[in-house]
Amino acid sequence: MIEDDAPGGPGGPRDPVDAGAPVDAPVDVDAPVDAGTEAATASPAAPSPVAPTGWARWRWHLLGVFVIYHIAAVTLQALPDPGGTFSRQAWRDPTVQQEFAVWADYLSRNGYAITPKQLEDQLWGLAGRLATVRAAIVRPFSAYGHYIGVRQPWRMFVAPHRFPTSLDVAVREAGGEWRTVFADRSPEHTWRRGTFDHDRMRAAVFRYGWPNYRVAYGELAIWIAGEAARDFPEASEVRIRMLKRRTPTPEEVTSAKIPKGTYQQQIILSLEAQRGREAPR
Amino acid sequence: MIRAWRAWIAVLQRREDALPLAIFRALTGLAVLWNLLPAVLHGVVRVIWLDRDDGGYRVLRAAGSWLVQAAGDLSPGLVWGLVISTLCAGFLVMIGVGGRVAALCALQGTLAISMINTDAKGSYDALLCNSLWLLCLGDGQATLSIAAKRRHGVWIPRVDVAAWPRYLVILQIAAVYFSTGIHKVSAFWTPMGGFSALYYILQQPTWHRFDMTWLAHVYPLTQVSTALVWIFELTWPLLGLALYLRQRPGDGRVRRLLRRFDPRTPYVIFGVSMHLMILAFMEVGPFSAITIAYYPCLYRADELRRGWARLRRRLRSAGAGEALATPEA
Repeated sequence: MIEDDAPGGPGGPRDPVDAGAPVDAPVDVDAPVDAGTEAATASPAAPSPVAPTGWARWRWHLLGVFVIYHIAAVTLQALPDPGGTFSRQAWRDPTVQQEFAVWADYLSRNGYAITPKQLEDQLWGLAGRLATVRAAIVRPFSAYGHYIGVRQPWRMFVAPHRFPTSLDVAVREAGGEWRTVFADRSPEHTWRRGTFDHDRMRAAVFRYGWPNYRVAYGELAIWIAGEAARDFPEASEVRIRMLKRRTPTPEEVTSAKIPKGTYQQQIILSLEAQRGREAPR
Repeated sequence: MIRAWRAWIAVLQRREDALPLAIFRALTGLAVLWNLLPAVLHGVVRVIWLDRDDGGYRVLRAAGSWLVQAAGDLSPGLVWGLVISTLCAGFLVMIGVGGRVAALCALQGTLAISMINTDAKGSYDALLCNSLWLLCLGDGQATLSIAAKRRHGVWIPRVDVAAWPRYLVILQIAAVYFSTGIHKVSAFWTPMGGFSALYYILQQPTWHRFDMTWLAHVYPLTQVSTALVWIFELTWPLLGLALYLRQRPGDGRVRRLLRRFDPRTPYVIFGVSMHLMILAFMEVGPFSAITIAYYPCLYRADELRRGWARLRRRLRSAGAGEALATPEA
C-alpha cells in the first residue's frame, strides 16, 4: 500500500539495509532522548527528486480523505447507543427498574422531583430520539462496517445485573424425581460443562434470561433436549429453566443470608419424542 | 484550509520504526488463535455456528456476514472452512508471514464467523476485526517477523513504516475505553450506588470463573476499583490529547509538564493490571489479550527498546546480586 512505495520507504534513505548500515547495530539505550516527541523520531518522507504527478500526487490526498473517514467512523460510532437494551420488555426487568428508582430518588433529593415511572417514560423518549439521531450520523459508515467490520458496538458492563439468571437443566425417568444434571458454575452438576462454560455460550445464556430472546431460548431448550436424549437413555423428560436470583449485598454475604431466587422460563420436553427423530449429525 | 490540509498530508507522510506496530501484529495474531481454538477444543463450533439441522442449537440458515451470504448456504463445510482458514491466517499474522493478505483473511474470517450467531457474539469480536483492519492498513510485519528475518537476516531489523497506522491504533483504543465509559450510566458506577458496580458484576454467575462472594470481605477495595475504572475509561481522550501535545513543538508550561511526567505510565500500569485481573477472575474469551495488544503502540520504538534494555539490565543485576548473596556449595 501507500507507505511501502513512498519516498523514504524500503529503499529510501532511512532504510538501514539499503543504506548499508548493520541492521542489528547496537543501540545506545542510555543516550539522552530529547523531549520524547513524535517529531523527534518520526521522519517525514524524504523529498522526491521529481515532483509527483498523476497518481503519485493524488494518492496522498486520497489517503488523507480515507484516514479522515476512518477516524470519523471510529469516533462517531463510539457515541452512546441504546441498541439492544431499547426494549420496554427489557426495561421491566427488576435490574433496570432498580436503576430508575435509584436515579429518581437522587434527582428528587436534589431539587428535581420525579417518580421512577416518570423518569422511565422521559428516558424512553430521550433514548428513542438519541437512537434516531445516532442512526442518521453513522449511516455513512454502514457499508464500512458491513464489509470491513469497522464497528464500535461495545457496551461492556454498563451496569451490574442485580437480578441475573443462570441455566438449570434436570432430567427424570418416567414417574421419577427430577435430577439436576447441569447448573451454571456449579462444581456438582457439570453435564456438558465444556460447552456451557465457553464464553460464547455464556454470552448466549446471559441474553436468554431477557424476555426479548424468548424464541432463541426455546431453540436452545430443544437442542438441550436432543443432547440429553442421547446422553441419558434412561430419562424420559428434560426440564430447562432459569434461576433468577438477586446478587447478594456484602452484608448478606458476611451474615450468610444469600438470597434464594426463583425459577422461571421453565420448559419441559419429552425425550422420547427427541429419540423418535433422526439424530442430526 | 490549504495549509491545514498540507499539514495533514505531512502527518500521513511521517515514517517511524516499525517495532510497536509489529508487536501489535504478533499479539493480535495470538488473539485470533485464542478466539477460535478453545471453541474448537470444547466442541462449541458445532453448537453455536452450525444450523439446527446440522447439530447446532439455532436456525441459522439466513444468518451471517456478506461473505457467508455470498457463499449461499451455511453448510458445515463452509463453517469449518471459515474456522480453519481463520486459524491459519491468524497464525500467519502472529508469526509475520503473508502481510496484509493474511490480516485481511483473518479479518474476513473473524467477521464472518462472529456474524453467524449474533447471540453468541462478544464485544471483542468487533474490536478484533478493527485490530485486523488496522493491520491491513499498516505494515505490521516489517520487523519482528519471519518475513523480516528472511529479508534482512535478523529478527528485529530497524525498518521504517508509515506512522499513521500506529496513530489510528491509539485512536482506536481511546475510542474503546471512552465509549465503554460513557455507556456506564448505571448508578452503581457512581457515588449514588456506592461505587458498587464491580462488586456486583463479579457476583454475576454468567462471567465469573469461580465463586466471588469472598469479595464481600474486601468490599471497600472493590469500591475504590470501581471509581478508578470509571475515571480511567472516561479520561482516555485526555491521554490522547496529552500524547498529541507532547509531540508538538513549543515549550509552554503544559508541554514541559507533560514531557517531565509521562501520562502513559499510570494508564498502562492500571490498564494492564485491570485486564490481568479480568483474565484471572472472569471468562470473557480473548478480550484482555486483544486489548493489551494495543498498549505497545502507545510508545515509539526507541522508547520500547530503551524500556526493554532497562528491564534486562535490572534482571541481570538482580541475578548477579542473588548469585553474590548465595554462598557456593
